[in-house]
Amino acid sequence: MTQTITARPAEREPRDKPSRAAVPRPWGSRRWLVSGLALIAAVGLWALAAVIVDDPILPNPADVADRVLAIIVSGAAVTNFAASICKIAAGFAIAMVAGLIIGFAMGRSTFMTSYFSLPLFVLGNMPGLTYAVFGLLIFGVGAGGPIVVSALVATPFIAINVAEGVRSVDGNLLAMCHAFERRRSDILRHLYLPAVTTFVFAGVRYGFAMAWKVEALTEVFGASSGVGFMIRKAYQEFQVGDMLAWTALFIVAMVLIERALAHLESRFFAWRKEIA
Amino acid sequence: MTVLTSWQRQLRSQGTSAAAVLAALATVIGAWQLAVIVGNRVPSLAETIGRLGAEAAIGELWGNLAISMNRFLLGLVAALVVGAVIGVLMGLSKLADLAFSDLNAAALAIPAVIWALLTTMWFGFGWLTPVVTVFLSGLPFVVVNIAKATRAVPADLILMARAFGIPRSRVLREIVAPAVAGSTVAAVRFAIMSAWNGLLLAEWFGSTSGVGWRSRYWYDANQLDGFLAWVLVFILLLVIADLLILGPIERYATRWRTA
Repeated sequence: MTQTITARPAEREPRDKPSRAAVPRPWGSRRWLVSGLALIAAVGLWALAAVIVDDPILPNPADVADRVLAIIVSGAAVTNFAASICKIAAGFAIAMVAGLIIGFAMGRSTFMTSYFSLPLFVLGNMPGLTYAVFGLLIFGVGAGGPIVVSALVATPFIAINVAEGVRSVDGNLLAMCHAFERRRSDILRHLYLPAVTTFVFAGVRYGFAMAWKVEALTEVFGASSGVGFMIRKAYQEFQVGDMLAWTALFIVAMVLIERALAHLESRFFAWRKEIA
Repeated sequence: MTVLTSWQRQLRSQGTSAAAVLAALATVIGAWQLAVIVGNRVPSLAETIGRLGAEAAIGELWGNLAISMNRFLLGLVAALVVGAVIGVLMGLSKLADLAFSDLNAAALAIPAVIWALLTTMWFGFGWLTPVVTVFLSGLPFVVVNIAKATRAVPADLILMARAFGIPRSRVLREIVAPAVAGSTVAAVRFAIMSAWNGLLLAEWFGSTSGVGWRSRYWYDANQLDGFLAWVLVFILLLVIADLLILGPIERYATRWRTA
């Protein structure tokens, strides 16, 4: 979640470092068993804590599982997650346009790089609270706030990665294109596009995780639909069980989407050996 | 390398001219002035800074900052210690790695606001709410990066050093330290960023003192200049922590890598 494309997903690391992996494969079949057992142990600890506290303030896992089921059956899960994801997708569309423009400018000129680096740094690191409050103040409780906020959060990630992609274009190829008088659109399509897409994908993956958290936060502060809004509702009604249920759904959705994006990435760019 | 480090590198790259940064600042201030003119109730920069001065004059600025920093450091140190233990364990043992990595991935996916709301409901309006939120929102980032640092230790180099009878302290200084420095600084940096976010939220929802509470006070009073004044403080703290303190440390720690 925290690296750009230069670092590889964790599951590949053991292969790069045979020295560390003294036992290369025996874990293959048992890895699900171990991580499953760890999860069960964590839930068991939670259940134990719930029994000791014995108060609605810490519901036991079974109750929360019931709430999760109820939320899924009632259809609230689908509608609210769909609402949130639509807002994020709209935000990402804006961020993509802005990020491509800024990234190209940064990739082509060192002045632009230093011009944008401080604003992008602040944009990418501002506490989520300030985004949420600004979104609420400027756009009210409609969909505008979360959309603009997720666009603002995602833009720096996409712009930085586009800039890296533009810089990665081979200068010799560029010179050759000029020598053979290729058209601008040809250069864009055959030289820049393949170079930039891989980097953009990485930016989207890491930007997504950030954007979704801040988007949910914005919905907590002011919204009329979405996951954050439901969490807010649970908080105001002091329903810890509901809140934990939504949290569980949130985690599952986020992990699933991230895995899906990672899978897509490795499928799309399997032809690029130096990256895959 | 991290996204943040690439910003870092750009901020100090040879092309970084003061002129470009100044131009960026001028653009931001210009955009703000435009917003003041267009928007009907956006306070101007002068008003905001004036309000900040007023906060300092009545003693709210430094007092709340001190309270918040106290909580922040307490939670952060706890997260760093616990996270380092788990992370080293994950880096050393495959079993621990398998057991913790899924749990940690889940913890990474939880937004800080959920911890802030939960701790508010659990612990009420005491000091425990912000401290626990800071701890929980910083912890997964420390675990991930410390595990990475531990895995980066070159085992074959250590074996070779042992074969040649190099003393332990020299092995630590010249093989282990350079290998783990980069990821360790990243662990601290991500923990700070995410914990600070958690602290603000916890104080916003469940506290009666601290910077988050104070900014909420102005927000609730519908005084935007007060809120913006505190946002300026947050941004300033961020720039100081990351660009002026952690940046140079990281540059020093990873100097062997940049040729």
